[in-house]
Amino acid sequence: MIMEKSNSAAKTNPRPGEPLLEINNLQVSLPDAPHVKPIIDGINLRINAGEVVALVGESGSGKSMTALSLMQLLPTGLKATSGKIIFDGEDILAMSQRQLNHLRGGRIAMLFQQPQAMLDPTSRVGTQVAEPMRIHRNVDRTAAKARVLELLGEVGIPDPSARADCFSYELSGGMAQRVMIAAALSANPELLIADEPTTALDVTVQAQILKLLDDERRKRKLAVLLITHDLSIVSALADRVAVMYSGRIVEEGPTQRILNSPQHPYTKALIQCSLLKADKDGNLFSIPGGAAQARDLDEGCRFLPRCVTAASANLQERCTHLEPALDSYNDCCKARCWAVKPDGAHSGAHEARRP
Amino acid sequence: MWMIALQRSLILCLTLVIISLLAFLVPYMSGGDPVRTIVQSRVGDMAVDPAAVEAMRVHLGLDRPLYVQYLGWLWNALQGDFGYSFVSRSPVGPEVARALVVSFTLAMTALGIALAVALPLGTLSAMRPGKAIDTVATFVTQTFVAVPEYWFAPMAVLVFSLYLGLLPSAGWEGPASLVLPAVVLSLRPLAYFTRVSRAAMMDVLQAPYITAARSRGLNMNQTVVHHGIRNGAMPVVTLFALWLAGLLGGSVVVEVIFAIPGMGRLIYEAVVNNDVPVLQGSFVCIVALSVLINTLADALYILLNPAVRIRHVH
Repeated sequence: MIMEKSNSAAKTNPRPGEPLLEINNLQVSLPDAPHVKPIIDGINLRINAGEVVALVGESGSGKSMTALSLMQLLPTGLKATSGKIIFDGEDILAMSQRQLNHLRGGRIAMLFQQPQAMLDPTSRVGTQVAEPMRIHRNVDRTAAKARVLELLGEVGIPDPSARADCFSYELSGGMAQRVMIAAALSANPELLIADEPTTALDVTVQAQILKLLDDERRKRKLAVLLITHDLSIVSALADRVAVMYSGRIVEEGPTQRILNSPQHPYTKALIQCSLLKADKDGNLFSIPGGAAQARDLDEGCRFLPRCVTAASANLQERCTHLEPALDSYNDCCKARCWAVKPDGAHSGAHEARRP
Repeated sequence: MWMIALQRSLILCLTLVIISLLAFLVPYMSGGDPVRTIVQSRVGDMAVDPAAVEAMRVHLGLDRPLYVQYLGWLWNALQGDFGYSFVSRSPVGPEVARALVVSFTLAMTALGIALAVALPLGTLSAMRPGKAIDTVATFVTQTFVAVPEYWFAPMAVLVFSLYLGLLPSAGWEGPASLVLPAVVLSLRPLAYFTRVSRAAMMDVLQAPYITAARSRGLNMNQTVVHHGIRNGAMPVVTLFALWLAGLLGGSVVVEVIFAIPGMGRLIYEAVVNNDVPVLQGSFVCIVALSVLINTLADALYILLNPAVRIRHVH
C-alpha cells in the first residue's frame, strides 16, 4: 500500500483543486497514560492543492497538535495512535524517518508562533534559510548563498546580505518571522503549515506578515493550513475553515458561509467574541465556562456545559447522553450539533454514531 | 561594552591584590618555623643553635614587620622576582615557570582527552536516554568519580608499563611519558564533562529551534551537529576553564606518582620543606593564572554564544 521509495519525482504533483492532504479519523493520545483521553479525537480534514484552510479554536483545542502530527514532530509522549494522514497518496503516519525527512521542509514546511525562539541562537540566519534547499534540492553552497539573499529580499527583508549574517537575537519578531517564511519557502514546498504565525507579533507587523503570506501562497500556488484563533485573519485569508473544540472538529465549511451564518453554538459564540462589542454594562462578550474539563465528559456533547442553545432548543436530554456526529448541512458545511438540521435527515431517524 | 571591560579589569586588579596578600600569608599560617627548618637542614642531626637561627632570620630579612616584608615581596614579585628557594637557593621565578609549563601541558592534554570523549558521549546519551549507551556512560562516569587517582595510577603503570611494557612508568621525557599521567588525570574531569554535556544537551534537544530545524528536514544527526552541539557545549566550556585552573596546582597525586616535575610536585615538596618563597611564588602564579584562564573562558563563551555579544542591528 505504501511504496517503499517515494515516487513523487515520477508523477505530477496534485493540481490546484485536487486533494493534497487528507486527515482521516486522526487520533493523538498519550500511550503511556491510558487514563488520559485523546488530545485529538478522530478528526477529518481535507486540504486541496493551492487551498487555504483555517483551523480555528481556543487554546488547548488541539490545533497545534494537529499541525505537529502532520510533520510527525509531536512532543515526546504524544503519538498519533490511529487514523491516517494521506499526503499526495501516501500515509505520513506509515512513513520511515528517511521519507519523513524528505517530506519535512521539502514538501511540507512549517511556521511557528514564536519566530525568534525557533531560530538557533548560535547559527547565522542565512545558514538556516539555506538548509531546506541544500538538503532537499541539492543546491551547492555558492548557489544557496545567492538564492538565500534573493529569498530574504523577496520576503521583505531590507539589506539581505547584511541580515543573512545576523543571529536571531539581532532581529525583531517581525523580521524573525520573515526569515522563518524564507526558510519555509526555501525548498519550494507544496503545503505550508502556519501555526499562529502572527500571534506573537504586534498588530501593525501582523498585517504585513499576513499580506506577505497571502502574496507568496498565491504566487507559488501553495496550499496553506492556517492555525489561528483570530477570525479576522480567517476571513481575510482562508478558503475554508474548520472549527475545533476539545480535540474535535465541530463545524467546517467555506469561510464566508461559516462566518456569515454559523450553525454550531461554539462557532456562533466565537464570532460574537471576535466582534468585541460591549453590552450595556460595558462588558465584552465571553463564552461562559472553560474547555478544560470538556475532554473528560464520558458521554454527550462536549460543548454542552457551555452551550446556550441546548436549553432553549429543549435538547438537554439528548445532548447530555449522545454526542452528535459531524453531519453535513446546507450541502456545503458540516456541524457537530443536535440543533442543526442535517442534509437528508428525517426527524428521529438520525442517531449518534458514538454512545 | 568598554564600561564592562573597564569594570572587569578593576575587579581583576582588586582580586590579584587580595590573592597576593593571601599567597604571602598562607605559608606563615601553616605553623612551624621555616628559619629553624633551614638551619636544621644545614646542621644535619646536630642540635640547632638558637643564636644561629636568629642570625639567619636577620639575614633573610624575616625579622622585619610582616607588612614591610609583604610590600617588599610584592614590589619584587611585580618585577618577576619571587626571591630564592630556602632549599635549593635558586631563584623561585624560573623554577615556578618551568613547573607551570609542565603542569599546563599535562592539564591541557588531560582535559583535551576528557573533552574529546565527554562531548560525544554526553551528546549520544542525551539523544538516547535510558538506552545502552546512556547506561554505560552513567556507569563509567560514576566509576571515574568514585575511584581515586591513587588507585588508577598504579593500575595503569602495572598494566601498561610492567605487563605490556608499552609506556614509561614515570618521568618527564617526551610524549610517551605524557600518556599515562594524562589519561589518569583525565578520568575525573571526563566524568563531570560527560554529566554536564548530557544534561545541557537534554535541555537543548527540547528547545523550539530544534523542532524548527527538524521541520526543515534535517535528520536527527544533522540537527544535533548543526544546531545542538554548539549550544550544548557552552556549560562545558565554563567547566573546562575551572578544571584547567584547578589542575595547574591540583594534580599533586598524579605528579608525585609519575614523578613529573610540575606545580603539584613543586608545591608538595615546598610544603614538606617549609620552603616559604617557593610556596608564595607558586600560589600567586597559579591563582593569577586561574583568573586569567577564567577571563579567557568568558571570551571563548562569547565566541560560542553570539547572543552574549552586544551588537544590535535595527
